[in-house]
Amino acid sequence: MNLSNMDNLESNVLTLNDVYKSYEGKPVLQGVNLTLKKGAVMGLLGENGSGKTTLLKTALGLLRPNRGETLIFAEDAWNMSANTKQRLGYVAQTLDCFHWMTPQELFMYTGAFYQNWDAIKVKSLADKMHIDTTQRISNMSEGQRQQTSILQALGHSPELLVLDEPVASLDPSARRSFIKELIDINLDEQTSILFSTHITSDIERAAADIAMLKAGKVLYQGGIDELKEQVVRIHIASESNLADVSSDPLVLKHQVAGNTGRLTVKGFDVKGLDVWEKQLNAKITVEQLSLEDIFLELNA
Amino acid sequence: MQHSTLILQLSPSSGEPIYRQLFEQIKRMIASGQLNAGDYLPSVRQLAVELEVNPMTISKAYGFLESHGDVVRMRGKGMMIAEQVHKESTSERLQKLTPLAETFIQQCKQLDLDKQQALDWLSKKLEKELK
Repeated sequence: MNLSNMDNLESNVLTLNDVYKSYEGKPVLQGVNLTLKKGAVMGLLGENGSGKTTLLKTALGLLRPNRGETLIFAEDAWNMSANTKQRLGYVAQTLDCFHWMTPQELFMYTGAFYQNWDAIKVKSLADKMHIDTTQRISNMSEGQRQQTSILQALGHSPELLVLDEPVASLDPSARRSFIKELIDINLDEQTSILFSTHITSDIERAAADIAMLKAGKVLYQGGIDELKEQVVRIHIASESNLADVSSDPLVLKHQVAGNTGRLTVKGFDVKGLDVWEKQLNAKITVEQLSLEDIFLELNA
Repeated sequence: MQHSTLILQLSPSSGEPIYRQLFEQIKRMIASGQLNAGDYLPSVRQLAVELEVNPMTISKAYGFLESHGDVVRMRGKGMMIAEQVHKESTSERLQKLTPLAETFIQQCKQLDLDKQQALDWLSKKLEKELK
């Protein structure tokens, strides 16, 4: 293998190729394709039960896929080397062990597993998040525990950080500062970040890329901005009655009454607007949709 | 080299892509003379931290401005407002409000408001906000 090929492989931090995973015959992932590029921040958006946690765990080699390929830093995730493990940080949905420890003890314990653990950095981040590192974890609130487990994943400055619903139990102001923290980490260390959530507003600021998961399949992967540009609602006011559009694969939703219509379409390109207007002999106005609207429309 | 501080407002949950919002706002600041030829835009990093948005989104907005000839990438110094840009005339600037005006008119019609009613209301609103 030549060097440029290696570069290419390394430019994708995570790759899932046609991945299937089921639990006791119940399918959860049903042919997932996903890539995370080096240095990218990606939000994984999906409703409860869509398979987000399973996807993340499979991607990290914590679960073995039934079929398909999962690569992490160009290595098979299930047979990951110890060296590659040092490059990862994972924050599970809940911190449900070591409750008898204090964060300080937890960090010392975790740090022992890593060659490059940075206790000073962890302490300063803890101060920034207002976490008292000397009280028992069992006495902490759900939000403080979550922040503690985030700190636990940052001490060894991972190149890839994967977080499962990291802000689920944080209040709005803690959410906001967490998002800020993510951006800082991404800027300071070019860390690639993948995090799951079912709340669109968490993704809009921090992430530039998004993957939408529905029933074990990725509906869309790409830039949030691109998605907003190609999924829109168009309002048509024509001189004559409008044709039936319900069979058009690009039409997600339609309401047509006589010579006016309201369509939600995907694959929209503003350059084609003039042609459409002429074809339909109509005036068309384009309404842009929020990420939440798009998510709901695509999920319907 | 003077980096400007920009007062930008983003609404991440609007349908308009964030890079587009940045692009349009910076364009308007150039048109109004708040940003002039030779001024530098804040660094990607600075703006990303300030606005709490992904740095790639900022880079994209800057890249867009560059490809439209509004800014020039200066090696090691960042993004500079291009020499050929200039403050635009009143009529040019008013022209930019056309899409907004069209939406406004359309909604007045839907709400069954006549010209006088809409004008009175609008001038009262403007009284408070503009000099």
